[in-house]
Amino acid sequence: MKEQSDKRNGIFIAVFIFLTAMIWCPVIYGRYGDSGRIFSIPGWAFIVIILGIILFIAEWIYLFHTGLSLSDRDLEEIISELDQAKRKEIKS
Amino acid sequence: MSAVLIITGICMISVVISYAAFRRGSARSADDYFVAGSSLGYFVLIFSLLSSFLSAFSMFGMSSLGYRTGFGALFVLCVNLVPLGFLWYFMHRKTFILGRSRKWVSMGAPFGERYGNGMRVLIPVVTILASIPYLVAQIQGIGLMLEAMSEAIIPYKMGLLFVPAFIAVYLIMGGMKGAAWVNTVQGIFFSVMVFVLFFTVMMKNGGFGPTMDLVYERHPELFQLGAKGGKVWSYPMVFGFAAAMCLGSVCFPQPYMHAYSSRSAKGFKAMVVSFGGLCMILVICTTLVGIASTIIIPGLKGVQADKVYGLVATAVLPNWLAALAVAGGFTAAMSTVNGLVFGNATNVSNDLYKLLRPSATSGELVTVARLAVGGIMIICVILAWNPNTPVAELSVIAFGMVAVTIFPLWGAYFWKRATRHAAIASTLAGVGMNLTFFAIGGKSMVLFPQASLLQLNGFLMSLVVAGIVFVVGSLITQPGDIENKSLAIFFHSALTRQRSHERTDASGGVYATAEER
Repeated sequence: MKEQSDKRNGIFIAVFIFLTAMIWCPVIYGRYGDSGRIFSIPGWAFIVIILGIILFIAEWIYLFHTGLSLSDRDLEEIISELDQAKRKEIKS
Repeated sequence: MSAVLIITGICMISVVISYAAFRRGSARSADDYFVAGSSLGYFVLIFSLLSSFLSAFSMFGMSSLGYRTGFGALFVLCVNLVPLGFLWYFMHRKTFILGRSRKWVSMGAPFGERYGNGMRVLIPVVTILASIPYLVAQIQGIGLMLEAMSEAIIPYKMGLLFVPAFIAVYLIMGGMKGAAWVNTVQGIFFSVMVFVLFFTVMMKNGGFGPTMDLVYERHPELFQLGAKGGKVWSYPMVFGFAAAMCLGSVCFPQPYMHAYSSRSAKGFKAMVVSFGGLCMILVICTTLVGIASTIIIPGLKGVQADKVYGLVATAVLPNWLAALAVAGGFTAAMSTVNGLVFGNATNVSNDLYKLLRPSATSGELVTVARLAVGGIMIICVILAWNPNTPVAELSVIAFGMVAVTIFPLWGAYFWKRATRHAAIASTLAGVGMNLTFFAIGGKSMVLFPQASLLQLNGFLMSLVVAGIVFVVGSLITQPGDIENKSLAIFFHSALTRQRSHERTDASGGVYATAEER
């Protein structure tokens, strides 16, 4: 189960990095000079907006629908364990 | 006259909201004052973070950039900020959890616990040095806007005294909760006004498609990458702007403050993911307003083009609505000032003053923060007194100076081998290089690709060097007692364990969580 979670985490991180690289540099889908237009805007501008929307949706899915990110129940448990560690630290 | 009433109304409403927060006990204790008692829900967090980041530049500056350079501006403060959803989550997940457990309220706290007092002092000092030119630019903008909107009824210098005084009052009174509520109301207001202006501008020429067809007919260069012989929106220029703006945003005070103030994990996640999406929608609108304005108000050059947002609002909207649209930019500037001044005042009190007086009481820390709010405002107003002061020029390196702290932050949370010597050296090297590039080549060297810097801009070169210094420095120096002791907190097994997917019941079987089902 742990390996499966790590694998899914890795896939999401790879997708995030790939989409970020595409969003930060249009070298693959945009060329210098005149370009075709899609919905009245330059084709590369349309593509970068679509990539932005896809990345946003991927982030949303990762954070709210995969169980891979921090949840409020996790938070309570983590805080209680950290508090125990803090008490031990103070004692010592 | 209507503009003066609108501005006064905005200031008064802000003070009333902050007073309401004050009455509800937002300044009862240090925890309440600095991080709103970690009680902010996701709606307030989303809009507060958005408006504390989006300055007047996101409206006036971006419409001007769209007007002058076209669609390439979409890579500046628009789509390029969507990656902040996962960058903020990964970089500030531990800020959020440990902040709650360790009662952190300031930026220096994680650095202090991980690397010792050297970094605890350095981080707030770098942040305030980077913030002041940025704040001066915002306050100058507020003064100039007020003068223009009121048709000189409120002169520049009176505006400088008038608005910052209001901001100081509501920050001093309402603390983080007051600032967040005010930011939320201002954020909703300027978002609505951006949409109103966008749709009106597009309808002026028969809708979005016909408007863009007209722009394409007259200014095809606005639709190109590498226009003007490869000088405008070349690939290195796009990458330089997109990466710089996004990475710079990771380390500003606002995400720390909002992470500490979040009531729940859900709120924290909603805040980080929504920011990029909302920026994309809002700033695309302001950029497209600028592009469409090339056919409504043609021929603006240089500084005149910076006024295109207000000019096109006046051209397409009734006077009172145009005043409200421009007031949207004014509130954006105000909310950015709120966020930065409050974040820095919190750092001054909790990182610097508390270091000098470790026995300082909660009330004393709140008092010092309130004094710091006043002090920072006074310094900024003095620096902004002359509208042509070159201090505001320095604001272009604000992002670069703060961004270099991303490596010590990453090392604190993810690399056990990170050392305090490397953290200090990396921060100083990055800040020093940003300042050097600015001194040598001005803002163009910081922002635009340079052949001498391998086609990177000064910002990215500083970031690369800071990263190398951090990694190499950590490998050649030994972690001391502070770093070793901090590992028990920063790398506690509870922080890294994958919890949501497997839970073992009493009999040892694995079952799915309610969330998964």
